[in-house]
Amino acid sequence: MLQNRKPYLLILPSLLATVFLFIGGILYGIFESIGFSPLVGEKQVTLKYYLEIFNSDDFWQAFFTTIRIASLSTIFSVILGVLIIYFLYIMKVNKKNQSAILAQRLFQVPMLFPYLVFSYIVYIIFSSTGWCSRILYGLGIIDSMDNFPIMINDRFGWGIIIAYVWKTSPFVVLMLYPVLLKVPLSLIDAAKVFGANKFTAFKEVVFPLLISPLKLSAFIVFSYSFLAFEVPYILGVTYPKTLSVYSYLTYTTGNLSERPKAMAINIASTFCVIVIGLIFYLLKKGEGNEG
Amino acid sequence: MKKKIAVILATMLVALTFVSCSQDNKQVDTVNLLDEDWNTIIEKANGQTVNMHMWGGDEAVNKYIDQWVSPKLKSQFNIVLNRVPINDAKDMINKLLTEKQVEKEEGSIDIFWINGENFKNAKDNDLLLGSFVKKLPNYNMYIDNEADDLNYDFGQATEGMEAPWGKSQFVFIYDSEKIKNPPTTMDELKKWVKNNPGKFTYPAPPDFTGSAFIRNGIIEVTSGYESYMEDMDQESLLSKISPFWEYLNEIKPYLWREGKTYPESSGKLDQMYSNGEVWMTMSYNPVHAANRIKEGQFPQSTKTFVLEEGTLSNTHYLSIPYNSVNRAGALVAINFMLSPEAQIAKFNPNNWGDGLVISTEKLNEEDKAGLESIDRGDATLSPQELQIHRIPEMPSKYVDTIEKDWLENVAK
Repeated sequence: MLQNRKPYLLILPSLLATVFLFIGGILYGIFESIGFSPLVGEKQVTLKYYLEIFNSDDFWQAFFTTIRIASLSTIFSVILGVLIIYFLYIMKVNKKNQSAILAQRLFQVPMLFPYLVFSYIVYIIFSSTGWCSRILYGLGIIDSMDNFPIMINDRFGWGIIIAYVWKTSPFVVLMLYPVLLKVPLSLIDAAKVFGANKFTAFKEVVFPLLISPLKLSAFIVFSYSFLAFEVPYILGVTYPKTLSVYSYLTYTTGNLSERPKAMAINIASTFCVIVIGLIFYLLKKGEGNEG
Repeated sequence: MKKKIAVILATMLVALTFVSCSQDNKQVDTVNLLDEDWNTIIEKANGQTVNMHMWGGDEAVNKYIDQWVSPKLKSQFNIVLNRVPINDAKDMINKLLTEKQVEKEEGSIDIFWINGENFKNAKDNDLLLGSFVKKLPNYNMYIDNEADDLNYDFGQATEGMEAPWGKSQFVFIYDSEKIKNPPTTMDELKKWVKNNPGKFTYPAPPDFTGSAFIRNGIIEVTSGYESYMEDMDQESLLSKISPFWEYLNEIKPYLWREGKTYPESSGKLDQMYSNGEVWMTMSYNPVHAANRIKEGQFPQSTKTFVLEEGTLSNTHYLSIPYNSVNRAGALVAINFMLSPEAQIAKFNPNNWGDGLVISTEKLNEEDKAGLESIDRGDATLSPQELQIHRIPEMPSKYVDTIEKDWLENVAK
């Protein structure tokens, strides 16, 4: 009996710390966002901060910008992830296991960098005086570096999307790769016997197995790119901002009475992610019932 | 297994008791410190470790503290100075506020480097130890205690709660190869920007440098700094500054990226200047350009200029939080940093290049000669040149409103 409980006991300290800090942080945020902040002398619960942000144009601009960037990043990241998996699948079918492992490792490299560092890498490569621009200028393809298309700090957010896709598609691959490993080659051979070529075998045999982990990783990528701060701070524009940058600037600038507003923005965006998480969960559950 | 846990718990309990005991002792020790005489304070400081929290973004500043100040404090007073780099001075205020909230009487900060808004916030929320500068021998001996530019920090009376440490002044930085005659007024700057589309921009507030550029512009383009020293309400402030929004909107189409976005930090603007993407950058430190040239980041032909009607200047300060543990050490360390020796070393661009707060006429001949012999680099304007083109900062309570109004009227 004790033997069974031991692992749970052993993770208890770190679990407690996580739960305490994580849940504690969220609770603290909720308290502050409803104006319960004894320090500033405010003890009256109020919803005025929420009303204030929901009535402000800046909040909705930030909200839609964030949704757009997070959705596009997720879509591109999932597509790229599946393409890489397809590439690895071809290697596997061609019995080039060694190179498949090597390639898989190679695709994981971007995961080694922190988002902050990676944002600067993207900036150095794609800014209008960056590597790409210099190379094209050096080759005489563009007349002046000013003619290089604006990809970083652009209003649409392509710079941010590039950084997210580059950084999160390896994560998608990491989530899908174990599935690919589990598919026995005999199954694919069997599909070939029934007249399937490599592509149709992938589509009919491998892809259905990928859907479930794909949904999960899509949700993780979405919620990360929805709430993360560094990438849009470095690669974004002055206006409109994403929710995270908007909340950060509200929190750090201005006087202390602005802090509840920043918390209200945080809680509202956390709430968004929770709702989207529930939708994903229900979708997954529904699919489980069908099967 | 159980036994082990019991032992660990018991040890922790005992340790906790000891920790709380020693805390009580220290508390008694520090309460009346400001009534003690200076020699007693030096004695008490012996062996203390002083945690100095400061913005860590400038290598020159960090080097000055680590390689010049720290060794001398250790050898002269047996004080260990522990520099704690932080990203934004606001983080310290937030940290202290949180500590105050949970009634933490033993803070981790002993000295911090602040001014302006952060000082105001700290003072308003009782986060400071109190009026301590009169306690410092070097303050009394070398610093002009009547000088308004030292006694008013962004329009806020310091009341001795922070000790002046250095001065800086806003300068524009340009490449003399590309710009032969730099503008000397905001009007000339406007003309220059229009004639050189895409080659100028400024960091978006709340970046410190960008915000200073805007305040500087407001003062020159509207009604001069004196008119901002008096109290006014939100409405009158907004209508007073609006002519400068017209100015900025007029140059907007000629800015980098046609003003559709602005660099988020002065670091980014510096990088764009290094790459030749823009032809001017700016800094609130007159030797910033000389330092960057030395590091090889800015071209050799880089120079600086100030405006004829003057550029903003401010004083930065050292202060002690209400819950500092090593107060004696903090007082001794701050006193040391106000000594002519430390101030002149700080003025030297090989160390940092920061402006003096001690009055040069109060120095002895030897120190005066030492000061004369310092070469601050070709890109740095002379102290006299800077001195006569200096305007004081406006009250910090206006900074927020200005930054927000900029976003509404210019950035969107």
